[in-house]
Amino acid sequence: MSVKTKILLMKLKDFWFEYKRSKSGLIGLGILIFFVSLALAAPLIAPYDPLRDTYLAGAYALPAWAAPPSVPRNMHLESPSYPKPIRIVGDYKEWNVKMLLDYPCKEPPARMIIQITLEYDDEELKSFTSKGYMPWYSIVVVKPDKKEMEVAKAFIETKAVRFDTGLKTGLVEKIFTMPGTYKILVKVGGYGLTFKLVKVTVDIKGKAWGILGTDWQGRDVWSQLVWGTRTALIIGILASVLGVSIGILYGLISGFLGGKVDEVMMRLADVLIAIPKLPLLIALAVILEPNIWLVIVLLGFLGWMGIAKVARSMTLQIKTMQYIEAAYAAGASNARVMIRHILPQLMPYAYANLALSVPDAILVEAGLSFLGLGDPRRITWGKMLHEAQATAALSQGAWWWVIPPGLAIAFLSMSFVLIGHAIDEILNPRLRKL
Amino acid sequence: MPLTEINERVIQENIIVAKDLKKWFPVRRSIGEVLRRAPPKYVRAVDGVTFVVRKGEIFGLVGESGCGKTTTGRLILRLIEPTGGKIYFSGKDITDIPMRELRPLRKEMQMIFQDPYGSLNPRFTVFNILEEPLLIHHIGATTKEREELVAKALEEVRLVPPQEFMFRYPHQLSGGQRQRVAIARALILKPKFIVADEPVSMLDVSIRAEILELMLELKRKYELTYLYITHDLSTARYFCDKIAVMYLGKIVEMGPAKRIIDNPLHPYTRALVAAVPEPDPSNRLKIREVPIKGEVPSAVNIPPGCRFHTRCVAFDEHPEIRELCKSKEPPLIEVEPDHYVACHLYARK
Amino acid sequence: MPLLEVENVRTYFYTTRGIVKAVDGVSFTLEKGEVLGIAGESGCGKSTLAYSIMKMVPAPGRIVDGRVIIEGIDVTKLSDEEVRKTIRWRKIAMVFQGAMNALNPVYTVGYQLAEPLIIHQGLTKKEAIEVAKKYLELVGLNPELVYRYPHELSGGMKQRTVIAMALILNPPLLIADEPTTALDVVVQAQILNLMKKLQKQLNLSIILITHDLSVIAELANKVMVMYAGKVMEYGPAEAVYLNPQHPYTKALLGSIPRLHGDVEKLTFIPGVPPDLRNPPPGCRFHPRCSYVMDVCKKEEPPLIEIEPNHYVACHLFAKR
Repeated sequence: MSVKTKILLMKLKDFWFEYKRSKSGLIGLGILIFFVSLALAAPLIAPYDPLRDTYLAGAYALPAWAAPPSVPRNMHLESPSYPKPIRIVGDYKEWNVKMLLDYPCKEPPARMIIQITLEYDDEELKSFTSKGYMPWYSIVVVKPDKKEMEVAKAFIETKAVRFDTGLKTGLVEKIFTMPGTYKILVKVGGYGLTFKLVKVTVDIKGKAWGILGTDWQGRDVWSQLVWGTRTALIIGILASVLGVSIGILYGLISGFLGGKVDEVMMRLADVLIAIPKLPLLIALAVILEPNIWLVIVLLGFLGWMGIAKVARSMTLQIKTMQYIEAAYAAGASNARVMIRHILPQLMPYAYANLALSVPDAILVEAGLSFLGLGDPRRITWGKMLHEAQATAALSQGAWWWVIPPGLAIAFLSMSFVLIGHAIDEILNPRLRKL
Repeated sequence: MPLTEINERVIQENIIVAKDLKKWFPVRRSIGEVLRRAPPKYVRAVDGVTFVVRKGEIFGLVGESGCGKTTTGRLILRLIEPTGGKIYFSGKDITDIPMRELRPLRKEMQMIFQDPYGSLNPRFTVFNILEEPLLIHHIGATTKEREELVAKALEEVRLVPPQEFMFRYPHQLSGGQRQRVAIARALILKPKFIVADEPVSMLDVSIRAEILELMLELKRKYELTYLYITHDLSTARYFCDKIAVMYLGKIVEMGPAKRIIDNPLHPYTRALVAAVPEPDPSNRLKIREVPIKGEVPSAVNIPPGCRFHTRCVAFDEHPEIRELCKSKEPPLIEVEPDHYVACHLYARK
Repeated sequence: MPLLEVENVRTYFYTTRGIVKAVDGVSFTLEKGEVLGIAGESGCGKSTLAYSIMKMVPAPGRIVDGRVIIEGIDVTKLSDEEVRKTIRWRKIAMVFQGAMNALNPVYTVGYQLAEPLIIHQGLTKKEAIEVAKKYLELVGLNPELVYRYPHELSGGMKQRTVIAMALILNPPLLIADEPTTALDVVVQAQILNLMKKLQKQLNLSIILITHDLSVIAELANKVMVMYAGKVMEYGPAEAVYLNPQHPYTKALLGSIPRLHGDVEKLTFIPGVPPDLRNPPPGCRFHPRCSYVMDVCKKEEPPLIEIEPNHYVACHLFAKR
């Protein structure tokens, strides 16, 4: 078969030679390569789960590069493991952990989370707590102006104690009122031999983070964008391939059989053309469970008519050529004529149409997601826009959440359009040559 | 040969027998006609054609455009289905046999088409084009075997070295070379009978002789029989043993090629022969009289009686047979041994 | 002074794949009332030569050398505008290949005939239609056909109409490019008879271009045989047909099957016409010539007069 592969390689080389001449086609191809790389490298470059990894920073955190230094970034402090208690009285142990936090910003952070990790034997501690001896902890923050503030004091109930200032509670703003060195004093008192303080961590969630900041739940917008690329490409390409495959076969058969069958098939196509895609999909999404496979299948079954008409025209034209008659004279069956002689000549139109119908699929899906009817388990750009709109992101100034998905939709669609047009351009001079 | 003489013996002894072949194409009717329940109209492209081709003969179908010769050629191979009549190939009635019986017969009856570019798929290499008949009929089990058969076919038509031509595309070949590929394709299945539809009319004059020579050589080598379709009388005289002159779907004169052209009897044949120019410089000093009048009638409205009478000069010259010509179709009569004419001028004898 | 003088015309096409030397040094003259037949196969440059005379060579072609002088005016020196106003249709008219298919289907025959009269001679529509009717009669058609549309006419009638259109401004020179190729043999004979009649009646000069030497014999008193952009043989019709000298001419004449006389084996010319971007050195015909000599591969043969007015470009004669 090496001769056939040689011929194929020559054809590809010729095609690439022609394609290179179209600047816009190359731009489109470049953009597409960018997006595909993004989609493929997703696990490496966007390690955060776009939907579930919440509060990586504060909500609506700016992208790190877009925020001036005065905007607080994330900070993380850890105490040494298993610090020694400062005092032991019988069964009672007390620890005093001091952590220094150099807080550089005038602006308070979005949130402070202090985690105290403990070790103890449950049975042993119960013997103390049942007698009324409760382990406790307290957190005191000493501000740079030496003012002290007791932030928390409570009994210990689990091995992982978590103090969270929460968002928008006003607490963290009360704590961090000025730049400077803050001392965070964590006192822990516990009972029993096995009772040990493992570690104290302090997490400051800033207001600037990451490549594209965070959304309303502190999730990484960059991860959403990157993983959303996968969904966009999958939906776009699969829906497009399905539609074009149906269209080519439909047009080929209709044109080949001709006569009444052709008429009926074309009228059926005309009826389907009249159906508006998006409203139908909206209606279906409301009734059925939204799911990207449903969207892909429906887009495929509603998008084949254009290419079907082109395929039919070409088939009607090719059918009259003498080499088709020659094939019959040699004894070819109808199937052979359709598959070996006519179908290969329809492929260039298929490729062009494929490229040109991807943006449509992406846009329809984005529209659906934007209306909240997309697959809830997947992140898509449309969904990003939906959430941003639902949480009034722009009024919060969160441009990094709104503009990137919009631009991504536009650019990916444009890249397919440019590629599709470049392929089309190559087709037309070839027809003239014939 | 007139219809009446066709019998079982004739069918068995000859490779092709066409008996009263008809092909009528329905004409689309306008709404008005449908509403008025007007009778359906037909283009009577082939309207009762009977002839016999002997094994090893070159039989020419000659006529102007629209006379039905091309359609007849396709009917013989059943590339178009006949509306009426019968086709016999090697003694077998192939008029109605189903496709699966017909397909293996296609190995024995092939066609060379007129347009050297249009009859080759421009996206197939020469190898693909020649391989296809082999693939269809499961000849040659491996690609290598088929490559060898293709190479041999290319050698037969003198496209050598075969390797150089096998992987070219039609647009990389000249007209003459493409037509050789078409001939190779017709030959590769080793048929007994080939219909050649104007195989050289789209080629340059100096190349035609080469292709015709090639066809003659192949005929001798493989004992082929040709049905040669052309509008060019001179080529027909050179190439064919027998010819049948067609007009508006019927044969008007039939017989040995040279005899018919040297001594045409039917008024139409006379006009055709008179109309052919020759490379004789003294011709410019005289007006060439062509004994014919009027225009070709439409094949939808064929004149009653003898369909040629509206243009026939003999019609004007012989008032005594005019009524006959207007009302009755003249049968094909053997006027001299093996020379048949369909004209009332001779039917009396 | 001859009606038309073509001097050493060279027309090249500057394509992205090389320079195609379609016409490469062709000269001839034509007197008033003479008919010149230009014979040659496809690709020999005869149609390009016709377009060069009318200064209608399509891009990327250009006349790079030579002169075309009609009634004393050098066409090659005129601007496109001037050629359109003064030369085309008025001094030289052309009937193109397949012209009958070039009739505009949405206008009546009369309108299309009248158009050049209205534009070039300023006639009113009514006057122009009257003239159109006269010309239809001239070409043997019913003058009432002015009211018909092209699709209502047969092939032969359309061809006559196109000839009438060409002649309507009384040009002294008519160029006909393959005027009968697409026609049936009976119609062809009728059109050729018509052209003979018109030639006599109007003392028309005609350049008849075709690959069919039989058709040329019907009309031409001078014949020029072209091959690969060059003139191979040129002379009076009797000389070229009855005493052909160039191997190509001989082969061409020998490849025509005759309708009468003995059936002789046809000659054919092996090989294919050359690629005009890279023609063979020396005589362009030498790769296919049965009489090829060494000198043919190196030097181009000059056009030699072997008899009065009979020229051949072949080294077989150049030695004398």
